[in-house]
Amino acid sequence: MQSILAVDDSPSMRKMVSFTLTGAGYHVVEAFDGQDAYEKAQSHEIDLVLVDQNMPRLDGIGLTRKLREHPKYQTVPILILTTESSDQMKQAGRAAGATGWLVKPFDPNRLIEVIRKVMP
Amino acid sequence: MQPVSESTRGPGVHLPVMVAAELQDSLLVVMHDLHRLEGLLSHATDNLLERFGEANESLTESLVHGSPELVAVQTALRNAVVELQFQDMASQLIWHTTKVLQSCAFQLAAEAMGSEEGEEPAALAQMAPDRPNPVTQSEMDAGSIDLF
Repeated sequence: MQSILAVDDSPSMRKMVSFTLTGAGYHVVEAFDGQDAYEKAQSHEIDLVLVDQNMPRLDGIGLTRKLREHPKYQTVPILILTTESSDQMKQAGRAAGATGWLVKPFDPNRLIEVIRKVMP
Repeated sequence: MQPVSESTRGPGVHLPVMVAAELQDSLLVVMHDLHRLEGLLSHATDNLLERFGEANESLTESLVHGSPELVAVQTALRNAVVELQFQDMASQLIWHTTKVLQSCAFQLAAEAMGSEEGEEPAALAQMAPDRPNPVTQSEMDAGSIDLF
Protein backbone atom coordinates (compact mmCIF):
# COMPACT_ATOMS: atom_id res chain seq x y z
CA MET A 1 0.00 0.00 0.00
CA GLN A 2 1.37 3.41 -0.96
CA SER A 3 1.83 5.97 1.81
CA ILE A 4 0.92 9.63 1.68
CA LEU A 5 2.16 12.18 4.18
CA ALA A 6 -0.74 14.61 4.78
CA VAL A 7 0.39 17.85 6.43
CA ASP A 8 -2.00 20.51 7.72
CA ASP A 9 -2.27 22.47 10.96
CA SER A 10 -6.06 22.24 10.77
CA PRO A 11 -7.35 18.99 12.36
CA SER A 12 -10.54 19.21 10.27
CA MET A 13 -8.54 19.43 7.04
CA ARG A 14 -6.39 16.47 8.10
CA LYS A 15 -9.57 14.46 8.72
CA MET A 16 -11.01 15.40 5.32
CA VAL A 17 -7.78 14.53 3.52
CA SER A 18 -7.43 11.23 5.43
CA PHE A 19 -11.07 10.31 4.74
CA THR A 20 -10.51 10.91 1.03
CA LEU A 21 -7.17 9.14 0.74
CA THR A 22 -7.91 6.10 2.90
CA GLY A 23 -11.16 5.66 0.95
CA ALA A 24 -9.07 5.50 -2.20
CA GLY A 25 -6.83 2.80 -0.74
CA TYR A 26 -3.82 4.81 0.46
CA HIS A 27 -2.11 4.62 3.84
CA VAL A 28 -2.04 8.10 5.40
CA VAL A 29 0.59 9.48 7.78
CA GLU A 30 -0.62 12.74 9.34
CA ALA A 31 1.54 15.67 10.43
CA PHE A 32 0.39 18.92 12.09
CA ASP A 33 3.00 21.27 10.65
CA GLY A 34 6.09 21.34 8.44
CA GLN A 35 8.51 20.49 11.21
CA ASP A 36 6.43 17.51 12.38
CA ALA A 37 6.19 16.41 8.74
CA TYR A 38 9.94 16.65 8.21
CA GLU A 39 10.53 14.42 11.24
CA LYS A 40 7.90 11.87 10.09
CA ALA A 41 9.36 11.90 6.59
CA GLN A 42 12.62 10.58 8.08
CA SER A 43 10.98 7.73 9.96
CA HIS A 44 8.40 6.57 7.36
CA GLU A 45 8.54 5.41 3.77
CA ILE A 46 6.52 8.09 1.99
CA ASP A 47 5.40 7.92 -1.65
CA LEU A 48 3.79 11.36 -1.88
CA VAL A 49 3.58 14.49 0.28
CA LEU A 50 0.41 16.58 0.38
CA VAL A 51 1.14 19.75 2.31
CA ASP A 52 -0.66 22.94 3.36
CA GLN A 53 1.20 26.24 2.85
CA ASN A 54 0.42 28.43 5.87
CA MET A 55 1.48 26.63 9.04
CA PRO A 56 3.40 27.51 12.21
CA ARG A 57 7.12 26.64 12.58
CA LEU A 58 7.66 25.48 8.98
CA ASP A 59 5.35 26.27 6.05
CA GLY A 60 4.66 24.18 2.95
CA ILE A 61 7.24 25.85 0.72
CA GLY A 62 9.86 25.63 3.47
CA LEU A 63 9.12 21.92 3.95
CA THR A 64 9.34 21.33 0.19
CA ARG A 65 12.74 23.04 0.06
CA LYS A 66 14.01 20.98 3.01
CA LEU A 67 12.73 17.69 1.61
CA ARG A 68 14.25 18.35 -1.81
CA GLU A 69 17.65 18.71 -0.15
CA HIS A 70 17.22 15.19 1.24
CA PRO A 71 18.36 12.42 -1.18
CA LYS A 72 15.32 10.28 -0.27
CA TYR A 73 12.87 13.00 -1.35
CA GLN A 74 14.41 14.38 -4.51
CA THR A 75 11.84 12.69 -6.76
CA VAL A 76 8.93 12.06 -4.42
CA PRO A 77 5.90 14.11 -5.62
CA ILE A 78 5.06 17.04 -3.36
CA LEU A 79 1.66 18.69 -3.80
CA ILE A 80 0.88 21.95 -2.01
CA LEU A 81 -2.79 22.19 -0.97
CA THR A 82 -3.62 25.69 0.19
CA THR A 83 -6.06 28.61 0.17
CA GLU A 84 -3.31 30.73 -1.41
CA SER A 85 -3.95 31.22 -5.12
CA SER A 86 -1.64 34.05 -6.18
CA ASP A 87 0.75 33.45 -9.09
CA GLN A 88 3.60 34.74 -6.94
CA MET A 89 3.03 32.03 -4.34
CA LYS A 90 2.64 29.33 -6.98
CA GLN A 91 5.94 30.33 -8.57
CA ALA A 92 7.59 30.25 -5.14
CA GLY A 93 6.26 26.72 -4.68
CA ARG A 94 7.50 25.67 -8.08
CA ALA A 95 10.93 27.17 -7.41
CA ALA A 96 11.11 25.25 -4.12
CA GLY A 97 10.53 21.98 -5.99
CA ALA A 98 6.81 21.34 -5.60
CA THR A 99 5.17 19.04 -8.14
CA GLY A 100 1.86 20.87 -8.13
CA TRP A 101 -0.28 23.55 -6.53
CA LEU A 102 -3.88 22.80 -5.50
CA VAL A 103 -6.18 25.53 -4.22
CA LYS A 104 -8.63 24.72 -1.40
CA PRO A 105 -11.29 23.57 -1.12
CA PHE A 106 -10.25 20.37 -2.84
CA ASP A 107 -12.61 18.09 -4.73
CA PRO A 108 -11.96 14.50 -3.53
CA ASN A 109 -12.31 12.94 -6.98
CA ARG A 110 -9.99 15.47 -8.60
CA LEU A 111 -7.47 15.11 -5.79
CA ILE A 112 -7.32 11.34 -6.31
CA GLU A 113 -6.96 11.84 -10.07
CA VAL A 114 -4.00 14.19 -9.57
CA ILE A 115 -2.36 11.85 -7.08
CA ARG A 116 -2.68 8.92 -9.47
CA LYS A 117 -1.19 11.05 -12.21
CA VAL A 118 1.91 12.15 -10.33
CA MET A 119 2.57 9.12 -8.10
CA PRO A 120 4.98 6.61 -9.64
CA MET B 1 -1.87 48.16 8.20
CA GLN B 2 1.33 50.08 8.69
CA PRO B 3 1.84 52.74 11.39
CA VAL B 4 1.68 56.27 10.02
CA SER B 5 5.13 57.83 9.98
CA GLU B 6 5.80 61.54 10.33
CA SER B 7 6.82 61.76 6.68
CA THR B 8 3.55 60.25 5.41
CA ARG B 9 1.29 62.01 7.88
CA GLY B 10 -1.04 64.42 6.05
CA PRO B 11 -3.37 66.99 7.52
CA GLY B 12 -4.64 65.33 10.66
CA VAL B 13 -8.00 65.04 12.33
CA HIS B 14 -7.71 65.50 16.05
CA LEU B 15 -9.52 62.72 17.87
CA PRO B 16 -10.53 63.27 21.49
CA VAL B 17 -8.93 60.68 23.74
CA MET B 18 -12.33 59.48 24.99
CA VAL B 19 -13.54 58.85 21.42
CA ALA B 20 -10.32 56.99 20.60
CA ALA B 21 -10.73 54.90 23.74
CA GLU B 22 -14.33 54.02 22.84
CA LEU B 23 -13.33 53.09 19.30
CA GLN B 24 -10.53 50.94 20.65
CA ASP B 25 -12.94 49.23 23.06
CA SER B 26 -15.33 48.50 20.18
CA LEU B 27 -12.53 47.00 18.12
CA LEU B 28 -11.48 44.81 21.05
CA VAL B 29 -15.08 43.63 21.53
CA VAL B 30 -15.29 42.71 17.83
CA MET B 31 -12.00 40.82 18.11
CA HIS B 32 -13.34 38.94 21.13
CA ASP B 33 -16.54 38.10 19.21
CA LEU B 34 -14.51 36.84 16.26
CA HIS B 35 -12.55 34.63 18.65
CA ARG B 36 -15.83 33.21 19.99
CA LEU B 37 -17.06 32.68 16.44
CA GLU B 38 -13.91 30.73 15.65
CA GLY B 39 -14.50 28.58 18.74
CA LEU B 40 -18.11 27.91 17.73
CA LEU B 41 -17.06 26.94 14.20
CA SER B 42 -14.32 24.70 15.52
CA HIS B 43 -16.65 22.96 17.99
CA ALA B 44 -19.38 22.51 15.38
CA THR B 45 -16.91 21.16 12.83
CA ASP B 46 -15.42 18.67 15.30
CA ASN B 47 -18.90 17.30 16.03
CA LEU B 48 -19.88 17.34 12.37
CA LEU B 49 -16.79 15.42 11.33
CA GLU B 50 -17.28 12.89 14.13
CA ARG B 51 -20.84 12.23 12.95
CA PHE B 52 -19.60 12.15 9.37
CA GLY B 53 -17.09 9.44 10.29
CA GLU B 54 -19.68 7.47 12.26
CA ALA B 55 -22.11 7.60 9.33
CA ASN B 56 -19.44 6.37 6.96
CA GLU B 57 -18.47 3.48 9.25
CA SER B 58 -22.10 2.45 9.86
CA LEU B 59 -22.80 2.40 6.16
CA THR B 60 -19.78 0.27 5.40
CA GLU B 61 -20.75 -2.22 8.10
CA SER B 62 -24.48 -2.41 7.39
CA LEU B 63 -24.64 -2.51 3.60
CA VAL B 64 -23.30 -5.15 1.27
CA HIS B 65 -19.88 -4.21 -0.07
CA GLY B 66 -20.19 -2.86 -3.60
CA SER B 67 -23.98 -2.55 -3.48
CA PRO B 68 -25.41 0.34 -5.54
CA GLU B 69 -26.96 1.87 -2.40
CA LEU B 70 -23.63 1.86 -0.59
CA VAL B 71 -21.80 3.34 -3.56
CA ALA B 72 -24.45 6.09 -3.92
CA VAL B 73 -24.29 7.10 -0.26
CA GLN B 74 -20.50 6.95 -0.16
CA THR B 75 -20.36 9.16 -3.25
CA ALA B 76 -22.70 11.65 -1.57
CA LEU B 77 -20.50 11.68 1.55
CA ARG B 78 -17.35 12.12 -0.55
CA ASN B 79 -18.92 15.05 -2.39
CA ALA B 80 -19.73 16.70 0.94
CA VAL B 81 -16.00 16.86 1.65
CA VAL B 82 -15.74 20.03 -0.46
CA GLU B 83 -18.18 21.95 1.73
CA LEU B 84 -16.83 20.43 4.96
CA GLN B 85 -13.59 22.34 4.39
CA PHE B 86 -15.36 25.61 5.30
CA GLN B 87 -13.95 25.69 8.83
CA ASP B 88 -10.32 25.77 7.69
CA MET B 89 -11.00 28.65 5.32
CA ALA B 90 -13.17 30.52 7.81
CA SER B 91 -10.58 30.26 10.59
CA GLN B 92 -7.83 31.64 8.30
CA LEU B 93 -10.13 34.50 7.32
CA ILE B 94 -10.97 35.21 10.98
CA TRP B 95 -7.29 35.10 11.97
CA HIS B 96 -6.35 37.61 9.28
CA THR B 97 -9.26 39.95 10.10
CA THR B 98 -8.43 39.79 13.81
CA LYS B 99 -4.82 40.80 13.07
CA VAL B 100 -6.04 43.79 11.04
CA LEU B 101 -8.41 44.87 13.82
CA GLN B 102 -5.72 44.40 16.45
CA SER B 103 -3.36 46.57 14.46
CA CYS B 104 -6.08 49.25 14.07
CA ALA B 105 -6.83 49.21 17.81
CA PHE B 106 -3.21 49.61 18.85
CA GLN B 107 -2.45 52.22 16.21
CA LEU B 108 -5.51 54.20 17.27
CA ALA B 109 -4.31 54.11 20.86
CA ALA B 110 -0.79 55.11 19.87
CA GLU B 111 -2.02 58.00 17.73
CA ALA B 112 -4.48 59.34 20.30
CA MET B 113 -2.59 58.71 23.50
CA GLY B 114 0.99 58.31 22.35
CA SER B 115 3.16 55.23 22.41
CA GLU B 116 4.14 53.79 25.73
CA GLU B 117 7.62 54.52 26.92
CA GLY B 118 10.13 52.36 25.08
CA GLU B 119 7.57 51.15 22.53
CA GLU B 120 8.90 51.41 19.00
CA PRO B 121 6.71 52.05 15.92
CA ALA B 122 8.08 48.77 14.59
CA ALA B 123 6.21 46.94 17.36
CA LEU B 124 2.92 48.26 15.95
CA ALA B 125 3.91 47.13 12.47
CA GLN B 126 4.51 43.62 13.80
CA MET B 127 0.89 43.42 14.95
CA ALA B 128 -0.39 43.87 11.40
CA PRO B 129 -0.59 40.85 9.07
CA ASP B 130 2.64 40.56 7.14
CA ARG B 131 0.91 39.54 3.92
CA PRO B 132 -2.44 39.88 2.15
CA ASN B 133 -5.41 37.79 3.21
CA PRO B 134 -4.63 34.23 2.07
CA VAL B 135 -8.31 33.42 1.56
CA THR B 136 -9.57 35.05 -1.62
CA GLN B 137 -12.42 32.62 -2.29
CA SER B 138 -15.97 33.83 -1.83
CA GLU B 139 -17.66 30.52 -2.66
CA MET B 140 -17.07 26.89 -1.69
CA ASP B 141 -16.39 25.71 -5.24
CA ALA B 142 -13.39 23.42 -5.66
CA GLY B 143 -10.16 25.34 -6.32
CA SER B 144 -7.77 25.26 -9.26
CA ILE B 145 -5.04 22.67 -9.84
CA ASP B 146 -1.65 23.46 -11.42
CA LEU B 147 0.86 20.74 -12.12
CA PHE B 148 4.41 21.99 -12.76
